[in-house]
Amino acid sequence: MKPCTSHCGRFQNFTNRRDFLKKAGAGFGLLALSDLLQGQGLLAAEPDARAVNPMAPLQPHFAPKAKSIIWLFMEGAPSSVDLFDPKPELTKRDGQKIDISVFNGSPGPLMKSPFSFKQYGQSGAWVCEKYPNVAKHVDDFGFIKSLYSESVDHVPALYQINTGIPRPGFPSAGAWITYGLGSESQNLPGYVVLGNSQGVKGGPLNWSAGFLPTSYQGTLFRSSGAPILNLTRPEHVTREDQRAQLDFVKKVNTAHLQKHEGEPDLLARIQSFELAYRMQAEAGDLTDFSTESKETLALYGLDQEVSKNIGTKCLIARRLIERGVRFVQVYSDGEWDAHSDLKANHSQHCASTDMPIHGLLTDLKRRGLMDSTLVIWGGEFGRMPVSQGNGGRDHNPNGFMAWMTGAGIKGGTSYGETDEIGYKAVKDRVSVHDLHATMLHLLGMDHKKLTYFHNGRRYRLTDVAGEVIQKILT
Amino acid sequence: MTIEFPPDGTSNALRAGRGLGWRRGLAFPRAALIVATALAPPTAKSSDFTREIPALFEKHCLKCHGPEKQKGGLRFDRKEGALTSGESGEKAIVPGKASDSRLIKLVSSKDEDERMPPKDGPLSAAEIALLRKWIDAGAPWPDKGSSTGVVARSEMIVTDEDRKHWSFLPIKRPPLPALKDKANPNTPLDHFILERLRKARIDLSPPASARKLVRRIYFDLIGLPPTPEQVDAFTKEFEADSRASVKSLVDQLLASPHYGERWGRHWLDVVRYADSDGQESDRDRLTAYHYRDFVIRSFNEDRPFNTFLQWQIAGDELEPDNSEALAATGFIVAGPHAALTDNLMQEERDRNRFNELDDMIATTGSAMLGLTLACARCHDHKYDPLPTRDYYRLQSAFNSGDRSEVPLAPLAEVRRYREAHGKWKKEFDGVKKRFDEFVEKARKSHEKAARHAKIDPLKISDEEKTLLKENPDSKEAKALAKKFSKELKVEDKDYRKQLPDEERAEWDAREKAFNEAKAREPKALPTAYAFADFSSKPKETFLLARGDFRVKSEPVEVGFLKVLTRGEKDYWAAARAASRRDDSTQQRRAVAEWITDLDGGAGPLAARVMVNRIWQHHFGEGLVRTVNDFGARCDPPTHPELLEWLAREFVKGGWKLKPIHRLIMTSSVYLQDTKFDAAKAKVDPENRLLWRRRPQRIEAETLRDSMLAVSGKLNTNMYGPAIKGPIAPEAIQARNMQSPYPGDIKDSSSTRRRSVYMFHKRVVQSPLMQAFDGPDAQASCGRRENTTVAPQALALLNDQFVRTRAINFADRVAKEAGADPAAQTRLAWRLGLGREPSASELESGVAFVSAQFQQRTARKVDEKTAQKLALADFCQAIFALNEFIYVD
Repeated sequence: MKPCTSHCGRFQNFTNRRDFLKKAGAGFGLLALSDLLQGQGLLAAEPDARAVNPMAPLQPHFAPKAKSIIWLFMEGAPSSVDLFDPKPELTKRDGQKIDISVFNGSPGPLMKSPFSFKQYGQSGAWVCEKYPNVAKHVDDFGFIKSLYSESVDHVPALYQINTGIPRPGFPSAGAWITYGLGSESQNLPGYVVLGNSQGVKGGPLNWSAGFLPTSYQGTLFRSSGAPILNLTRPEHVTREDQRAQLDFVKKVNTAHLQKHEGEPDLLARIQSFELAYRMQAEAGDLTDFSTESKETLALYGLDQEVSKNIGTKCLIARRLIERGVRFVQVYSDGEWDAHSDLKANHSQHCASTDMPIHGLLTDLKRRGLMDSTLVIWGGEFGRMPVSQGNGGRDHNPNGFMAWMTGAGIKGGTSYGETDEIGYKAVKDRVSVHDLHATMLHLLGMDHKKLTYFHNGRRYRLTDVAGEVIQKILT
Repeated sequence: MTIEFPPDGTSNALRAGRGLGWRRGLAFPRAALIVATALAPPTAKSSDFTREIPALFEKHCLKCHGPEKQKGGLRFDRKEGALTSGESGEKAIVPGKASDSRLIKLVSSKDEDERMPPKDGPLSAAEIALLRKWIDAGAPWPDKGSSTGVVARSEMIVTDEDRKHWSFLPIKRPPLPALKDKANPNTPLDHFILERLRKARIDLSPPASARKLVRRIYFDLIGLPPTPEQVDAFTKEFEADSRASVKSLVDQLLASPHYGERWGRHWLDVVRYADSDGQESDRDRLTAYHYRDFVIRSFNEDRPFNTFLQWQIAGDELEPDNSEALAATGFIVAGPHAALTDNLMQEERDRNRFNELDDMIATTGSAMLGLTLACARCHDHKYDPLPTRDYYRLQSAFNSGDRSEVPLAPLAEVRRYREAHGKWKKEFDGVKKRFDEFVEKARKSHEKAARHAKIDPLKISDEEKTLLKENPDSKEAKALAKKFSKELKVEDKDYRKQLPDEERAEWDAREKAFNEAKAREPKALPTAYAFADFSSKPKETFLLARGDFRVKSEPVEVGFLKVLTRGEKDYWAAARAASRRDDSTQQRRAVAEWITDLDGGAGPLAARVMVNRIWQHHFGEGLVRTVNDFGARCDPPTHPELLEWLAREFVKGGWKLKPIHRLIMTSSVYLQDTKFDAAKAKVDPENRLLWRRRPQRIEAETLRDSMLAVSGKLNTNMYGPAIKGPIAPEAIQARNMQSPYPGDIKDSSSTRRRSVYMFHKRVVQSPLMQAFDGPDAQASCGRRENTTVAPQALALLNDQFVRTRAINFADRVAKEAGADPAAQTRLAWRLGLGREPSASELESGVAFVSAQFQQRTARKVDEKTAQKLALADFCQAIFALNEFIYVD
């Protein structure tokens, strides 16, 4: 191949592409793919497969620890100091006024946690009284207690934690990951979002493909009925009716294809109908729990009203990654947004997530899936050490936490600290880019090499920053 | 399979991302000059050393003594690096003493081994003299930092070299390449295409058939399929005179109002148009459609494109009496917006404001200039000669105003209305105040009586009544009050009943006066969601350090991109002089004049960017594929002279689009066949030389509109408020919206209008549009993705809209073709695909319908229904055909 002599990187991109396409014999329609392959180690996949199916799996840059991710997204922002990061100083100074600026104005005084804490496991990690089952797993957790982000408002913060940028329109982490790796599952979307049953603030832009091809956007699943849009056949159309319809379409399309040599998109489109047909069957099976034991259902908290919803989503999450889906995001229901009466709010949210999370972690372990799955828990930011209104806390992007467990995570570790009252991350601060870099790293990708050329430059999930959080990794 | 990459490929890409900050110029042919800001703002007129010295260092020294290498421990891009002793131990520069400075010694040395710079010959005598003079003057190089000490870094200076990038140059008139005798192309533009093909030793493909062309031209220009009659008519004319028939069809469709709907939609992509705010609340913008209508009308009327651009930036300042021009500034505010109330944290509101300003600047850059201006928000642009300063100068124009409901009426009428309304308001407030006071007085003196009057008629025991009256705070009374809350509610009118006659008459008189005054409110003027300045005084705008709104470094005045500016024209002064408004700063007018100015401003670039967009929509790809980026890293044009020639035709013809369409669509290259040729593909696998036509997939809107048209259900009403069509409730997935999307809308004639009139709700995108790569309206979209994924197939198989149209289509076919299955198949084929089915297609179509029918009757579906559904299955299958969605 002719070396690039031009100055800007763009020419070279096209030179490579042309040559690449020639070698691959695939003709056209691989723009995104050649961008992806540009300068990367992601060359083991069959290009033809990807032209037809954008989710065709690709090899990562290096040996991965994790194959898939389940992100338990606690929407509304849970409070670190009330769940996993108790602050004695906050208790001591309860009621003291401090100089502080908060989103909704009128900050109250410092407020101690309404919950009691105990230490658990070998690692002695602190967990609040409301998470007794989650607490059983702390020796497997790598805590990150020094996260920070930019915006004090939910939606920009949601966009940032999902895409790295606190503005709408950028590709989400799940989109980057499926763009980089594809998915092992060919009959299900590679990136699934089990949404908040009341809708997520800021909507689908939270799982957007941004400027990446739309194939990489997250697919929203409902936890009851047909999980995906357009999965149910129209009225008076049976499976056989539709099969016959597809056969007819295929026949005419194949004849058309023969008159259109050099147009691989047309072939891809023929195959997309077959994939759609298979997807209808497989996605339908996902929410059919008849093959799960009663014990399993109870393990996920499906036998209790308070945890049934999220338990269902966690169980679907397991079933999805079992089928090779790459990236699953599970939103909690309602929101942890405790502007008043944090005690009631967090008690309820802990109750609705405690068993489901415990069930998921236990089930993943016993099925041997934990070795290849990374589980993340966290929200879009944290909460203030001072009170708001009647026992609530306002938003706080200056210091909050998350934990990771599963593939590649060194259990019983904790990284970073906020200050003595839990207001601001002060030690080993971790940005959202760092979090994303770590996720990509565990999947075998160098976050600096996963790029996409758009608007005159190469974009990354981690923008121009990001450090892998090595200390919580095995 | 292995693939080699050119040396340094990846690391180059990485450097692009992370970079060395501001010093990115070295790898590029253009030599950006970099100086320390602190030396003085680059605009300073004083003939000190601000320009010459840094330029001299840049030219001769920085390669080895700059940010990348610091040979001898010296670097001449930084004060501390230059005024040091370096490795020699001897000071390179001794301020005030040129002759003691090692720098002077070395540059003037006769010893070639010692002399600096080591290559490219010695400095000129003049340059050495300049250096001496500078050092003797104390080597003025003020400490880092300016007013607030935050801009400590170097600032890019735009040079003449930078202006030489092809897209920044004035438009030239390239000569038509000479062709061989035999060649007889349709249009001059073909000369450029044929020239390139000849060099590659390949030919154009033969012309396409009439049947292919008629579909191509209809979809291309109006986004709707031709009817069977239109196909027949064209085919007939084509046989008689192919060139004339094409020309006549193109003219006919350019005159169709559907043209504006089709091509206006392309522009709406570019300007990230939507009908709601997006973000959390996603408030509906009920008057945003005026902008959309302005766009459609402009295309239909072929409004000169320079005027079209100008109005979008400053229609209110340029043509304050023209409603269309007023609505045009909807462009600026078409992006997402977060409505944050005043009680929220100031910092968050500021952050949001600057993000929104960035959206305005970024979109102006991408849409009008093909420049990634947003890259210059936090630092000088990494590849293009766009200093951060230029960014903030442009920001000044937008920072002096904001989104607003702009009255759509002539200036004088708006003035009259505002005066009248002000006058009325004063009067009304007085009447209201007097009435309120009277009511308040009545309330005070009759509160108890009014309350008791409500208790008496209740069907409760007397004891309970007494309890309610005497002891209202008791637990039992409260429970009762809660139970009868509706009945017990005391309203203003209840006091009236308690008044003595005389006072009641006064109440009535005052109430009458109040109502009359209210009725006199001047009728509100219609408004559009657009942009307005706050006042005639520009809002103070700052250059922000690292793009951080908290770190203001120095104030800036409105200005333009230096690299695109020639001459000394003062656009702002001219705008102010021409101003007819006293409530506007005229900064945007200055930007508008500059952006379309062919001589001194950005006009040449704006023209090139637009003709390239037109080319892209006709061929699927632009001559420059990066349609929103014409900067240093753009995809270079495949046919630079052609682009130049088209741009010149465009501006010469008064910036009119229709003649350009005509030129392109009658060209030989446009009218080619789609046939693949392996030998040619070997030479040019990507068809960059355009040796054939590639089939184009129709966009989401065209797909939806075509299904409506084919099924006979398209409502062709134009313009007006956006239409909310049915969206499955399960696809409405967001919480906390201020204007939620209704989940119960029914399909009706009013929802069956062309897709360009659909209500584009940012947070609740139409699933059909989304599946087929419709833009998300978050940022300028110059070119849509073209993905092929299973959810598209699922939509065509199962989506309610698609199925309903298939049933309509079947009804139409049954009605128009009668009961004969062959006639039905034939008609459906002609309607859907614009051609007769082949014998085998006809046969399999008939067989399919028959099988579907039998399958159903076997399931005990009654015959009539089974017939209808079988035909609907067939019609739906046509929607799913590649031939339906790909146009040859």
